Amino acid sequence: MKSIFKPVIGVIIILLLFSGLSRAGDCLVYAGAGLKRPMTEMIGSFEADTPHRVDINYGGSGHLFGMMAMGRPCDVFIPGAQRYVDIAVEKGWIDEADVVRLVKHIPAIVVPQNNPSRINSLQDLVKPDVRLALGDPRACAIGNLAEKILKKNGIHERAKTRTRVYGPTVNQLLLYVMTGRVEAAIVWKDLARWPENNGDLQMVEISECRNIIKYIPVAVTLKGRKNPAAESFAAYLASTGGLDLWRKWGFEPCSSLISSN
Amino acid sequence: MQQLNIFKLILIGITGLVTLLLAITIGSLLFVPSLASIRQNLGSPELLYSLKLSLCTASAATLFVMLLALPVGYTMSRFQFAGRRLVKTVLDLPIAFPELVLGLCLLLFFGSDHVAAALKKVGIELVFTRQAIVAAQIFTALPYTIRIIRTTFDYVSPRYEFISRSLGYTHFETFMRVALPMAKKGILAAAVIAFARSIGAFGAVLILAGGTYMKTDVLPITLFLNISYGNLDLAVTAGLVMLAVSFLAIYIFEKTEADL
Repeated sequence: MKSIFKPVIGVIIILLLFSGLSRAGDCLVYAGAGLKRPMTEMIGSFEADTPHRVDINYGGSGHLFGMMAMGRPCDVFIPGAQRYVDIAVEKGWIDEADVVRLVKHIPAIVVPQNNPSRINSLQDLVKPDVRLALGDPRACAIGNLAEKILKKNGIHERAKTRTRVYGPTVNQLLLYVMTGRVEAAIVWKDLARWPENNGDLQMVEISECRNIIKYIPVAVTLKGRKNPAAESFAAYLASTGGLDLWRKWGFEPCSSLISSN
Repeated sequence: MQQLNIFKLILIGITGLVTLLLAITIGSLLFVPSLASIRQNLGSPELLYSLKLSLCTASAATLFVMLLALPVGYTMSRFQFAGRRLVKTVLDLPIAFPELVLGLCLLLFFGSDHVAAALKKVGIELVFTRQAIVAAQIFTALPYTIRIIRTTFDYVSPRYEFISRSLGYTHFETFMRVALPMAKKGILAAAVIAFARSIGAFGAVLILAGGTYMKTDVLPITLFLNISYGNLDLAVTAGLVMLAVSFLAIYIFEKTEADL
């Protein structure tokens, strides 16, 4: 009979170890894949300043939205575009009062280093022999927005014939530009800053009158409202220190936040 | 005796628990959508498209994989040569690394200007195309298939081949008339696994072929895209179709392996 105790104790120890290892953070955040760099740093400094621990899930905004639809828990939702928060409000997962516009999200064109096809404006995207990579309009925020920008400028149909690939995530588009598989892609300006500084690609701005500028919202979900860590993290993102970090990574804070701080 | 039984009981208990856990997890796919919505989604143009594309690309990939894996598997089982260990390590490497890494390697290689230009001359375009899907599937399935074929030949005694050679058959004839027929079942099992791996290949296909809706949209990509679109029912239906394919594959594999 004695021999049975050792394995049982062993199993209990293993279970305890696992429960220790998987001790979850006290706040679960869903953030758009394109926000990875600023968010990682944001969480680092937030955790250093407060006793809270943050768990974060990165993904295409649509994908994150789908996970919420499947009932996966989420305290704070930071998608790449306002649209997803609006739908979440409609579905009753988020109260409109808990949504704050954080920073501007500006689309821009990226081209491989040295700009082999000499693309200097939106119109140049439909030059002959240009291969384009765009986001899948239904899968990621930038894909949806790129389609609207091209339509607004009346070059959507022509751009379609130039498009070689509709990527489900925006990071994939950067990969295809950096490896020279396409001559241009439309991505978020902030996302292009880091590889641009690295010399892996070049950014071409879209003139303001032709562009459509979006905002990145942060929203505490109804479930997250009961969680002080979630409220505190959302407030941190919009604080002076938080906004400085956003600026560092190439995002422009919304003017309403600057005046209120 | 008493102790032995407790030990056996614990092992059987753990096996039962793990099996139950897997069955419940996989089974949960069955309970999400209603039967009506599965039927409706099975008939949707998107699913029919990706099912057809999956079957075509995976069949083509299986053919290529078998053509490559048979000679390589036989070589690794029968011959001793300098650098054999290194070759074995390289062949097994892709089993251990994530499919996304494989996809990135394939993109960097097939996408590089020289390789792309050379391939284009013979009519092959391996980035963002259906051919790219097949290429990604081949590279995903190949290492597994080689392993199975190697093991199959390991179990066939080389003595039969020696006898055949001593009776006057050439090496090639011996391979075709003795080694291949004797390894028939293992080869069938390898082909089934190659097909199943090709159907399930995701990461490498996503990176190399791009994962464009209704263009390079095979079953795993359909599942991924529809999670992004928030269309859970279609995603689950794609999952169920893949589940059926895997189930069939494992069933055939087990059956042939049992007869081996």
